[in-house]
Amino acid sequence: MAMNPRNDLLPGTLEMLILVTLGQEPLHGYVIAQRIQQASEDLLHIEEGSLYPALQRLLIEAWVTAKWGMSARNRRVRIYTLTAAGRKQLEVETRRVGRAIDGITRVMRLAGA
Amino acid sequence: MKRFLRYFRSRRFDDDLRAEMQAHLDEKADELMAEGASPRDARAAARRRFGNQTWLQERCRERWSFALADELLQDLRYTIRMLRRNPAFSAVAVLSLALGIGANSVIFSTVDGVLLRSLPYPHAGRLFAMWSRSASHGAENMHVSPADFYDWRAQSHAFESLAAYASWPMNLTDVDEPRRLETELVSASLFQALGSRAQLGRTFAPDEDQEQSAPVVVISHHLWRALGEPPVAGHRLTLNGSLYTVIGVMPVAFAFPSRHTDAWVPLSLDAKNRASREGRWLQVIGRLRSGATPRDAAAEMDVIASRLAAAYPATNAGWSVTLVPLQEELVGKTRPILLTLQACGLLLLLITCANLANLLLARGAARGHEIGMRTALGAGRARVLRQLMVESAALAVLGGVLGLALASRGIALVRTAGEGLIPRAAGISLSAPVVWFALVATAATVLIFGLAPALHVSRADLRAPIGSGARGTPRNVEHKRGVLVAVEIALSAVLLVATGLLARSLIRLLAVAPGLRTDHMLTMTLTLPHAKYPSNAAQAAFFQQVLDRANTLPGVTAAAEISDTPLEGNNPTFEFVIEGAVRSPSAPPVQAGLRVISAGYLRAAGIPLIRGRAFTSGDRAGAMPVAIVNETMAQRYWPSADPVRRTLRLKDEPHWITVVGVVPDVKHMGLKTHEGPVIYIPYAQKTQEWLAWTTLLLRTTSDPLSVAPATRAMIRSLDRNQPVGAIGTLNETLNRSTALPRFSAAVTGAVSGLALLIAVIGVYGLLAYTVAQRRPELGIRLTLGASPARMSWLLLRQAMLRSIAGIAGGLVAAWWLSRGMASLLFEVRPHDPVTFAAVAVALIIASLAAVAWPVRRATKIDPMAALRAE
Repeated sequence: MAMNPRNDLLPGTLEMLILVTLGQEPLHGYVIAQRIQQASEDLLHIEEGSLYPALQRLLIEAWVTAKWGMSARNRRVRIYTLTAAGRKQLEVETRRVGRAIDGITRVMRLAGA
Repeated sequence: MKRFLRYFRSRRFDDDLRAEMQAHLDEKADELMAEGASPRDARAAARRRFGNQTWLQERCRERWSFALADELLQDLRYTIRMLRRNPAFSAVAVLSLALGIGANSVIFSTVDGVLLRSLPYPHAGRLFAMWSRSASHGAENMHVSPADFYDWRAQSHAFESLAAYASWPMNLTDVDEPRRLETELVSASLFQALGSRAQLGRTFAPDEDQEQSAPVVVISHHLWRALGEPPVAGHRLTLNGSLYTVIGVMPVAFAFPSRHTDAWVPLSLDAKNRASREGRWLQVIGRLRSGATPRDAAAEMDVIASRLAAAYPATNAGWSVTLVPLQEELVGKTRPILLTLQACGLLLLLITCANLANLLLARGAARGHEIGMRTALGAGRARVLRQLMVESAALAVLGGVLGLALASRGIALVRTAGEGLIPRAAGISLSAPVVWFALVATAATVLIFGLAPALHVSRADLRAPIGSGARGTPRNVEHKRGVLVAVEIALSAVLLVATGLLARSLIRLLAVAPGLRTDHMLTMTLTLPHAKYPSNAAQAAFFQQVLDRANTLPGVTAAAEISDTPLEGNNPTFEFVIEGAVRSPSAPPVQAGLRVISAGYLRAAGIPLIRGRAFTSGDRAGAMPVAIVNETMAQRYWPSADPVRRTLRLKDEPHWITVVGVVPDVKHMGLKTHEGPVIYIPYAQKTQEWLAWTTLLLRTTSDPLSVAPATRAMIRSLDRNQPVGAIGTLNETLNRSTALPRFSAAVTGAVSGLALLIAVIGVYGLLAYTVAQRRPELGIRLTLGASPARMSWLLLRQAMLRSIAGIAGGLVAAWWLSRGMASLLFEVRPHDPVTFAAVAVALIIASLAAVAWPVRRATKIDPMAALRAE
């Protein structure tokens, strides 16, 4: 079993996707995973568990905070909230990704079709 | 970050993670079951989609460990970069810290080794020195007579044991090179009282100090090695012409009463000497019985003393006993100077800390921009604070390590320089308590200078500096630095006052005329063994022979002899009776120092005659007994008459002595001491058989020590077995007597010089900073027509007010502290106005010099350039 969850992803992408997801509302791990799967229309095949190491990184950087709460199914879960620093980071990342995609699009257009 | 760290370390971290992942799996399974899967399939599918839970948990842990290690590494790397980018700042910070810590460690080691560490005897706190005291005789710490000692020992219960000892140099002969040994006559109880055992063989048995006891000797470790480490059993030494059996060798560390003591011989007094209460010549120590208090002992000794005074009024009326802890007795005199030096060291450390806080505040302000940037980029406040702490800690650790290195060099220096100057100097070492002290000093310094600016910087409004570019100047930084600079000036003022007082008293001391010529003078001592030279005539004859031969030595212009070496001489005093003097019975007896000299002594030593004549070769045994008195004697006992041709006699001797001359007083016991009344008599007419020693003085044409070998050879040619001791020059003796004051003045001078330099740099640095920060404002003022003179005045006034406040504070503190130095000063009062005024003037001048350059630069600001830079 290939264990590197990032095999399919650019480094940092998963973290960014989590930030984007949490940008709308505080969520717990399972819902974050579901949202990412749905939003990407299952394009990104990642193991759901690989969400958690990524969340640790966001905790360490203090971009999100976590506290215990209740899920919709009334289960005790940890709910993650974006911090001010996290929101700032989200803006930075959005701009960066936007620029990167712009660049790629332009190159693709030149290359061809 | 610390909070996170603690969370990460706790067991809760793993539990939380497991619970969280389990909740995820359960949610997933619930959903799959809602879609119709069997519970078992649902759980299996959930786990499949999730991945390897254990492996993922490991990854989560790793993230945290890496983050922590990474951040510390980052901090360290960043610190090293910062330190290297500001080499001047780093060097000043580390060096001043090292000097502060180093100086303190050296001084603290010395204080610890000399004052604090207890003497190397078991239960050393129970050891006391015991002195005779008599107010009416003006005798404070007087030795003890043998009869008194034996009575004390017999009657005291508070003391477990009492021991007596007296310095009694002896000549060691029948060896390759005869030598003079520093021997102590000791009661057999000495080693028992101290609680010390021999390293080889044994010490004295209780009854080994009887008159008929076989002659035995215990030798020091260094003498044993000098003798070639002979087997102890049956080894014999010839001391003063008699054979002594060596019974024991003491360990290397045993040094009682001094490190130079070579051997201990039992104090075997005959019945007459044992019963003597006249001569007080024994030193006594006692060991308290366990449980007895010093007060009990003192009370008991008072009772014993008054009992003896009633029984023997002629000798003991008015005499009591003083008890002094032995440690105090050995090192008490050094306490004031060591404590003063310690205080100076601590003040220096304080100045160092103030200086570093100052530097860090300035740098913190300058780095406001950088810190604001880092915060804006997401660094937490705790993170910034920690970064600053790591930087301070790195400086402190570097400074501490360098300081300890300096300290170990410094301690080696003190050990060698302090030899003979400070008691127990050889025991000074960089020991565990000292290392602890340095560590505590380092930690305290980190807290004081590291945390304060760090808190200040990170509390500052972090966004402000970004808005105003690199030029954010929190006004209160300047204020804080102003206070620090004033404190530095104040501390320097205290140190400078201490130095000034010591220096002035040293100058006074060096200006004291010793009363005799000290240049080109070789000195050595000769002690004749009684066995070979039993009579006064035999002793005088040998001393005269030595003089006659010495006068013929090449390079010698004059030779003379005196019973005690001048400038560090003992001053044995005797009671005299003056003919025709009517004295009331209650008046204190006439006491005078007695010195025996050769006929040519006054001329050779350059002591002029005030009246009468010097001794001649005609003043021989059998001729009319003659004496010369000093001026104090003449004025005290013949205040209105010429003492010449008056007569006096020693209290216990029948013959009358005629005074033939008067000479000025000499600084016989050292520059600080008046010698009191003194009577000189010629060697040829000496009546004291026990006084079998002399100091030979040779005035030479070139280096005195170059004549020493020939002199030694000459004396050995007269008596093959006669050693000489204490070869030196009179100038060396003079220097030795001023060595401790010179040492203290030099140390405080160096410390306060360093402090002054730091303070001046502080004054300069702050004003230069102010000028740099206010450049645009000053530029505008100049443009608007402010005169450069008025602007300089404003800046100057600002800086000088700070300095003057510091000086005033410092002088008030010094006024209060300097009283503690009174005992160190010689003819200078602790509140010496000259010193205080000089310190104030010196600090004002130094401050003016420090501010001159920044003020000049301020007036040279090009207004246009300054404004453009905005």
